[in-house]
Amino acid sequence: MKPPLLEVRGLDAGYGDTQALWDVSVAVAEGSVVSLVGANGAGKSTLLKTVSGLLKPQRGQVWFRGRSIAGMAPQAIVATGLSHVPEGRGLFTRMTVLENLQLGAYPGQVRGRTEESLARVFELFPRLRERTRQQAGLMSGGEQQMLAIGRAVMACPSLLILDEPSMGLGPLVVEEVFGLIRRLNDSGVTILLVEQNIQRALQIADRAFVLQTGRVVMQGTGRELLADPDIRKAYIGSLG
Amino acid sequence: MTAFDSATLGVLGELLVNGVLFGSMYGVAAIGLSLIFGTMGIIFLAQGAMIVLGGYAAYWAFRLLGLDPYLTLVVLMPVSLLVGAALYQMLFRRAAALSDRNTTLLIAVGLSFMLESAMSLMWTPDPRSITTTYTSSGFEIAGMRLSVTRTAGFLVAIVATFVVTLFLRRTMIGKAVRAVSEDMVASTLVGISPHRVNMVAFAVGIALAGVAGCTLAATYTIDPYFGFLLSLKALIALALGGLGNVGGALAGGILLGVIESGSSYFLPGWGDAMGYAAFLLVLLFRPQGLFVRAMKKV
Repeated sequence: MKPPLLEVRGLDAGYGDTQALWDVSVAVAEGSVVSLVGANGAGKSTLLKTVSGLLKPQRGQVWFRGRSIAGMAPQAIVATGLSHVPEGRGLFTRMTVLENLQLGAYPGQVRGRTEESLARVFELFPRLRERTRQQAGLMSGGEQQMLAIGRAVMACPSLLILDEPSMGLGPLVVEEVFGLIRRLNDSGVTILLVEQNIQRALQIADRAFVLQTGRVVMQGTGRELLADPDIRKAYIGSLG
Repeated sequence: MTAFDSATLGVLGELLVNGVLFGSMYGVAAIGLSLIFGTMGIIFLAQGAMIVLGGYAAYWAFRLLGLDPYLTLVVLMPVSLLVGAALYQMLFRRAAALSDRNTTLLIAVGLSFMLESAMSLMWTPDPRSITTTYTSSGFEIAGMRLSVTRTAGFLVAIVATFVVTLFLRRTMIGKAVRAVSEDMVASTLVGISPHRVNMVAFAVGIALAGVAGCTLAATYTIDPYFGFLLSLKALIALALGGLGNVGGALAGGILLGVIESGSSYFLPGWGDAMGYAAFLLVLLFRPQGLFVRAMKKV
C-alpha cells in the first residue's frame, strides 16, 4: 500500500509548558480531503501549526512525502510542498494583491514558476486578476480568503492546510470557498482542513478525525461521522 | 517699513529652507530606524553613533587621503552595507531569535556607548569638521542664500529615499522586508527566512547611517558624543512621520528640521526642546504619525 502523503505519529505538542496535544496520530492520503473537527480548544490549530513548523513537537513524528519534517523551520517546510493558510489568513494587508501572490512563490524551488502559478491562480480566482493592484487589506473578507488560498497555491503545494477558511464569511461566500476547495482537490492538491462548520467539513471530507481536549477520539470517513449519533448530538445537533 | 518686512520674510524663508535641508538628514536616519524597527522590532539606538562613525570615516578620508566627502559617500555605502550585515551576524542574530526584545535593545544601547567611548579614545573628543573649497560657499535662489553642502545633503537624502523605496517595492527581498514588517508568522509560512530579512534590513539601515554621516560631516562639526542625540532626533522624525513608511520618515525629518530652525529664531536656544515637545504632542494625539493614512478595515 502506498504510504500516506502526511503522517503524524504519537505527537505531543503545546505552547511553552502547556501541553495541548497528547499522542496524536493522523494520516492524510495523497489526493484526499481530510477534515479535523472538534470544539474550540480541542487542539486542531495546534496540530496544524506543529505540522507546518510554527510549533516544535515535544514528542512524536511528522512525515511528509516520505521525509521527516518534525522540528524543521516553517520556511523550510513550505519549500517541501506543504502550504499552511493560517487562521485569520495572515495576508500582508498593506501590500497589493499581486505582491501577496508573488510572495507566495518566495521559496527558491518555485520562484522560477511564478508566472505559470499566477496564471493558475487567476484561473481559479478570476476576481483576483482584476484586482492585482489593490491593497489586500481593502478587499472584502471573501476576497481576502481567496487571496490567502491563492497565495498558498503559488508555492505549488502538494498538501494545502486550511485553518478555518470560512471564518467570518457569509453563507454564500462560504459555499464559494468550499467550491474552490473542491476544485483545488480535483486538480490534484491534497487538503487538510480545520473548520468550525462541522457539517460542511464532514460533507467535503474523504476522511475526518475528531479531536477532543488534545486527543483523537474518533475517526472515519466523512459520511460515517456525519451519520454518527454521538457526533450529531455533540457538534451538529445544536446547530440544527 | 516695507524694507524691514521683506528682510524679515527673507530671513524666515532662509530659516524654512535651511530647516528643510538639514532635516532631510534626520529623515535619512529615520528611514534606517524604520527599516530596523519594522523587521527586528527594536528602536536601534546606536543609529546615531553609526552616523557619527560614518562621519569620522568621511573626515579621515578627507584629512589623510584628501578624498572629497561626497566621493567617500559612494565608497562608504557598500562598505557600510557589509559592516551592517556583519554587525547583525555578530551581535544581533542570536538575540533576534528571542521573543523578548529587551535583549536586542540593550545590545543596541551597549553598542552605542561602546562606539562613543572608542571614538573618543581613538580620535579625542575634539569636534572635527571637513573644510573643503566649497564648504562655506553658497548660492542665491529667489533672494535666499543657500549653502552648497546643505543643498547637496538634501539631494543625497532625496536620492537615498528614492532608492530605498524602489528596493522595497521592486525587489523580492525588499517585498520580503515589508512582509516581515507586517506579519512575521505569515512571512515564515510563505517561505521567508526572518534572519535573512533582518540582516538585509539592518545592513540597509547601517548604509543609510553611512550616507547620513558623510553628509553630516560635510555640513557640520562632529564629535564622538553627538550620536545619541542624533538617535533621538531620528526617533522623533520617525514618530512624526509614522512607522513603516519611507516617505513619511523623510517628511518627519524635514518637519523636525523646520521646527528646530524656526524655534531657534523665535526662541533662541529652544530648538531641541521644541523638537521634543513636538515628539510628545504627536505621541499623545496622533501616535500613528502625521503622514500615515488610517487604513480602513473591511
